[in-house]
Amino acid sequence: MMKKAKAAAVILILFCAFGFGRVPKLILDDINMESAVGYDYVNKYIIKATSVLPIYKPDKSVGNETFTASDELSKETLKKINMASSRQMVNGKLEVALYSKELAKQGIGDLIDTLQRDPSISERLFLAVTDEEAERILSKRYGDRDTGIYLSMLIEQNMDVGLVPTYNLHQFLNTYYSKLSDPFLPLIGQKGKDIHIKGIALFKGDRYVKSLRQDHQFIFKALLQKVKQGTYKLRLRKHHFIAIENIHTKHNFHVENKKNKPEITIQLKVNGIIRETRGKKTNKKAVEHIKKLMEKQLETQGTEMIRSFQKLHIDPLGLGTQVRSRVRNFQDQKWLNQYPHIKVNLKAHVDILEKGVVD
Amino acid sequence: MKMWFRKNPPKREEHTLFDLILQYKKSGDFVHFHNPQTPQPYWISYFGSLIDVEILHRDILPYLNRTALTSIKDVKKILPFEDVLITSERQIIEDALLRGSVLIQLHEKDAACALVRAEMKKSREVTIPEEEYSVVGPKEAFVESITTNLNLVRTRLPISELQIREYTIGSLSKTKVAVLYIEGIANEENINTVCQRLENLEFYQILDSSFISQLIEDNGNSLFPQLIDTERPDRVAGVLAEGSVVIIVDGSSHALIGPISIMELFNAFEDYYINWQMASAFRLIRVLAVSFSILVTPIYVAVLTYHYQLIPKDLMVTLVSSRRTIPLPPFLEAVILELTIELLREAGARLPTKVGQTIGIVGGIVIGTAAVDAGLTSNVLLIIVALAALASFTTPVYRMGNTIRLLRFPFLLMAELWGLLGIAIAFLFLMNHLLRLTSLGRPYLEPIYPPRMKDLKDAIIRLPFSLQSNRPHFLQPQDQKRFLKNKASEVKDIDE
Repeated sequence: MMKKAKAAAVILILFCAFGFGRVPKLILDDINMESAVGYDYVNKYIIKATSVLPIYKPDKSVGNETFTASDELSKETLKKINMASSRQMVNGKLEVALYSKELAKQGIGDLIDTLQRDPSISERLFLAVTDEEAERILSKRYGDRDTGIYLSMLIEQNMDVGLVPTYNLHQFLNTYYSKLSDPFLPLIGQKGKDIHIKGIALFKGDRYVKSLRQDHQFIFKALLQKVKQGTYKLRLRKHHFIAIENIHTKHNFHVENKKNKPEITIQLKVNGIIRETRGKKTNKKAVEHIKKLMEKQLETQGTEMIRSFQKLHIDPLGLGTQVRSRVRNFQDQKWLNQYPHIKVNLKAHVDILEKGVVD
Repeated sequence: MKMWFRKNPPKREEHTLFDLILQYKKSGDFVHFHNPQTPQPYWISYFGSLIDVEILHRDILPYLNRTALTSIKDVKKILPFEDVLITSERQIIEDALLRGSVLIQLHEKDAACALVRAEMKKSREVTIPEEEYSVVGPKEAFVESITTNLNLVRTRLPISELQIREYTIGSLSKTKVAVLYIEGIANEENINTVCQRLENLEFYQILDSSFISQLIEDNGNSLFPQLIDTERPDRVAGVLAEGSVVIIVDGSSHALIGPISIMELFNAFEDYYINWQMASAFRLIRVLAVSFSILVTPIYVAVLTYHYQLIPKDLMVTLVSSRRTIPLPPFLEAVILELTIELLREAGARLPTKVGQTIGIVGGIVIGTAAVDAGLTSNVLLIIVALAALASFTTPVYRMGNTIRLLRFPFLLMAELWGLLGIAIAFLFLMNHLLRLTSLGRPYLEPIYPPRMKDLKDAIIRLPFSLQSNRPHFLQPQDQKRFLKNKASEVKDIDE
């Protein structure tokens, strides 16, 4: 009896498994995986989406194909694009999403929503703002890979060793949904035939407000996270610069006068190596001079930058979250009102570890 | 065929020795002759195919011809044998004759007779082990003769505690089966389990030790071997000293070891002959190879069929472009390639060595490259399947390799059905089975579950001998200590 019941159970399970337990198949060579998507502003209600998909050829070379469609919803655009594609379009290998500056000014919150809801889209997706139309950037081919992979490699490389802070969809959503901080995105533009990272686009909520000044990029990254392999151009006098390389930074927040009006002190530690200079040898005195100068320059840049953030009522550095973690009974609204008038001190400490091989 | 399975052969009616001889005479190789010329005439009978004629001519006939015998008991005095048997018991006579004794009678119709053992001992030379070959360590392997095999074990353990219990199993084959254990070390329960199972065994023929292992294993329907068969006498001596029970079967060049845990299937005995760091590294490699071998093709199928998101972007070009021209879905492609490899292995195993090499070349190089060139399989999968097959051969126990190769197919099917979820379900079923499995009543997954930290010292890794002062816990030995640790670590200088 027991044996018969067991056999019946096994047969039932097998029948159910084969009969009903089917998952739609997405066989690798029967799908088109879009690698980048770009959104442009058409009018208040309609957006234009551009998808880039790599075409893999049997001889191991990769081609590029671009599709464009306009609709109110971004998921609908994917459907429209699917009508023009010979294979099923899927978005699980999306690497980069671009938003034109014009669109970003209108707010991109609704567009991010679709990326966040779709489980097949990676949280490590890179977002970026383009200086011009996203379609124009995506319809060209750069390098030997397809445009999507190229863009993601470009951004990733600049996050690892360049001046762009590490920032992906996950972190964007974190700052976007937080009341106390505001998101930012890398800004991409075209320069002749090539594509390059122009700077950093600052957001207030989901709207683009301003782009970060070129000379504030280093201090911006240093105050957000640890810089591991940075470079810094130090101005000694007019037309006389020094390159500091292999920079490692570390920063610490201190909050005083917690009860009424907090006062923030940021201590920044910078270690670096002198790699390029002009003129005579650098002796001990000169190194000391460079050190002092760099500290001063970093402090001015930092304070200037934070002042400009306070004026715009934006907080991409997340100062609010830093204060909240150090203050008991923290009140969001009170802080937001205080924020433009908070005093922020920046204290930089520079160490020159080395000044070259021969010197 | 049916009569072979009959449990109780029909009882023959009692008859005299003379009737017995008359019945045996029907067989062409039975010799029965009378020598009337000697001082005392006698009758001699034996199976010509069982006895050594040299012994008969040199040690029996000259003495019988020379001396006058008054009674049958005198045979005992004149023959230079220590165990001449004088009996009239029909059963004993029958057994002895069929095992190669010479029967001597003074008169043809006498009931009493003398039995002299003169069996022909034929056995091949002790050769080097082929399945469990090791570069370091002794190079002796078991042969088909049980006396030689027992000798190989006893010379390694010259102690009185080594006990051998003998059984005769098989209604037709009458195979001698010996159970070996060391008294005072091996757990009584284990010994009794083995002995009881052997006693209760009713089978018609035992041709090899694998018959025994199939018949007495805890779960006969399991793919996993629950007794290890080995051809190395050093391994047998080693596990006996740990407290295992060993079964040696006449006519088989493999001894059976039990109880075992799954980790022992990854242990080559060579691991004890090289230093512990290397042994541990090799064991880890084997464990990795086995998991790789089972899982890699199913994962390939699952990822390519369902989870394209998991493929890194740098691998995408290689994978997609190699599959662009393939007409088959990943599952069929993988199954066909797996079957091809199995085909090659089976063909190679059935053919003599020299032809087998040709098969390897034809299969591996010609079919492999041709299939890729023709666009029937992707070269990525070809590499994966070949590597998986290679990895399955790293297991030191031959039967485990077969298990792994067969396990892959249910995993493949589940991968095709439900992707990675299917693989996870198949893995759960496998784990469930392994957790329930026992070897002679001892848990099969032992150092892992139930967790025994002490036994991990000689499982996936092998720590140095100085740390192995205790016998494996899962064998439940009567004497836990291999050696006394504090005594062993005493350092004595040469001039002390």
